[in-house]
Amino acid sequence: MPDDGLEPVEKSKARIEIKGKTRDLVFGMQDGLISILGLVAGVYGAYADHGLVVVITGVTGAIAAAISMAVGSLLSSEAERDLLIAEIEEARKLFEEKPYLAQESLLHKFIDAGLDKPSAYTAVKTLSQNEDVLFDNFRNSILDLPAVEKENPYINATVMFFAFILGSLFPILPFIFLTGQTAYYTALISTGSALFTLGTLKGYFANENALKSGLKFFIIAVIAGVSSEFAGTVVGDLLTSFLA
Amino acid sequence: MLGIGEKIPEFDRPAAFPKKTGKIMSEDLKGVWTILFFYPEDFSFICPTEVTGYNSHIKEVEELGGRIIGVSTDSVDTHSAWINELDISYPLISDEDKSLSRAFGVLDESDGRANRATFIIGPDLKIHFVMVTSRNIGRSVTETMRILMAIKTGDSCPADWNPLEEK
Repeated sequence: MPDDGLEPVEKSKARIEIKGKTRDLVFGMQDGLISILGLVAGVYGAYADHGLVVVITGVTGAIAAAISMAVGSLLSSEAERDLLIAEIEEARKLFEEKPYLAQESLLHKFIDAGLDKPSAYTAVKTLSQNEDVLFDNFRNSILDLPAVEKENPYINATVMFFAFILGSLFPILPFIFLTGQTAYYTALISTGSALFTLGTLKGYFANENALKSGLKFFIIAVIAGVSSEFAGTVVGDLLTSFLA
Repeated sequence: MLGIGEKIPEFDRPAAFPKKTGKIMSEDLKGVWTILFFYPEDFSFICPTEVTGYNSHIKEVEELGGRIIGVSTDSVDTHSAWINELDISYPLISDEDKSLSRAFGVLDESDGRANRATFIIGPDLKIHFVMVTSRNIGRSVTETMRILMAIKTGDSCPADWNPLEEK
């Protein structure tokens, strides 16, 4: 690529693109960590001596929830995409019937943004030299309609599925290799650490305090684990005494 | 809004002419037929069709002993730039303080811009024709021309009388 001085812009674009692509990964993993930790901790609270029950519940819960998340992501992406395409088609129809409305609204947008009238007029007139350029600006700046994403929703759904499964391994694996309280605390710590890492990454991408963000995620994990274990213990005791 | 037979209010407003700026006073309208048209604003993608439409009939109006003057609440500088942009050859009055639009009763107080109003003013400074349309409806310049010709005959003219077609 020729050195045209646009390197910082390209870097910024790449960074934004990475952020977008990691969204499903982070969201899926975070959900897998918290929800499956809650599930296994709850079952552990009720059946502390039955490690296999905890593992089976965790694995089936993780697969079911991962499928649900992936399907949800796929359907919502498709619905969102279809709605967006329909909105853009409507906007294009209006634009083709009355292009001067698009020009006029852009003109006022530029004036409101601080350009004087002649400059704003010249800018819109320049954009008007190409119908597609004018429409893209009208769609984006006036109607707040983004362009249709080129991302494949099936890939996003697959990423979310595997991210969820990956996240769920942190609370499940300790119950496969360890037993009792050791398994529970290891699950709590490993899930908390994974969430801390995710929180730190999220803080970094969002230009926030990474440590603060990581700690927030860690605390959420501990609260989810401890409260679920407590709920499982209470519900288990209640049901045991009720059924006995 | 001013109506038929009423005398126009006295005014003295800055104006932009092709390649210069100056003033237009109500007295300047004495002795000539004037098409005075108000429009919302310069540098609009909706208005130019009217502004340029009047410009394309400027010779015919002058042959009838008349003149065309546009008015909006834009500044003189904006008017000058607009005249250059559209290459128009009649003056535009700057009604920046909105007094003229208000005096003619065509100012939309909600946004401080004039409605689309056309007045044909006689050499006696009295109004002979008034038409106002909503912002989104452009006026017919040829209809204004037809009315001016009809008024100038000094006679009764039937509906749809159209000397432009007879030509």
